[in-house]
Amino acid sequence: MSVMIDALLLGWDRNLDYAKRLLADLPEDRMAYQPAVNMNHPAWIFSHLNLYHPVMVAMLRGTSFEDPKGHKFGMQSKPAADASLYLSKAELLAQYTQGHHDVSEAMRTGGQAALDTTTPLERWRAQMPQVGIVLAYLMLVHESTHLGQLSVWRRVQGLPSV
Amino acid sequence: MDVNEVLSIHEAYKGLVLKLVGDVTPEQMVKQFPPFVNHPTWQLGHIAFTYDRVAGILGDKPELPEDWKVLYGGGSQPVEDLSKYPSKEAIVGTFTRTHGRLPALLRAADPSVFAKENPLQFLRGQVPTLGGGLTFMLVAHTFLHAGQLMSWRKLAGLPGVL
Repeated sequence: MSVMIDALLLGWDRNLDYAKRLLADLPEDRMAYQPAVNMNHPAWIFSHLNLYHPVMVAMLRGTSFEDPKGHKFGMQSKPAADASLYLSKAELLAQYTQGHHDVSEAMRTGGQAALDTTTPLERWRAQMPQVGIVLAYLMLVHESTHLGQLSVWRRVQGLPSV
Repeated sequence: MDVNEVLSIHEAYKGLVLKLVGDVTPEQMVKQFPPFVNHPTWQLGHIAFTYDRVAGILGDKPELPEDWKVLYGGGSQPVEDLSKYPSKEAIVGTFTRTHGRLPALLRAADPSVFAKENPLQFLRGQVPTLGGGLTFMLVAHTFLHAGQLMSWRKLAGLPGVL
């Protein structure tokens, strides 16, 4: 495995570990709480992140997938205060953990050849022409940004740093 | 993911951060929402401090004074006191300057360097190589703080920038 695939997977694993710690002590009834207007809450953040894992796996395996943009938890969606719109904390975490595992497995299996293939989704292709660039963005940039939002969400309510 | 891909993300990060603080007033730059205390001046100083450390790891001379570690290093405690920090113009300037040093240093580095042991001791257990450490510091870590800045804007009642 190349140093850069190794680097991606190490960052990916670290994000998984960080996300688990961010969620560990959260009560179920706070998952959709918004301490400020439009602030992203944990139920939306994990519903949103989980949406991209099958997309990443499909790109690595060269199979088709739907553009996640218009999905109910896609980039155009807003977090809602109604917790019933989301899976439970346990289900979201299980899905997130499985998604991380699936992406890691697909990356190890596909190797550099999978990362070098052309980005199949046209709207991503101009800025991120290869699957490897999309993966780097989704695995590290996108996930870290949302986990950073979750860390603020915790601190605002007086929950400890993890 | 190679050096050019890391640098592409590095460049995009600068654009995002400058947007995130663009309309923040000088007084707001140290505004805290306790118990979340990481205000924009601290965020920019912390990332500039990170860039300076990375420059040092890549063989260049760190430029920031020792007291930056106290103000902006890991575990530092931001305070809501303008007199303790540089002006908005100065901190944005330092962020931009330290950011701008890294592309040349990364391009000039011998690729074999990235397979060496991660000199960042606190990360070594999870991220054993220098390449992994730098990818984490320049991509995952920085965007985690961008996520915090995004949420800080929500707390401050400022509009989203994406």
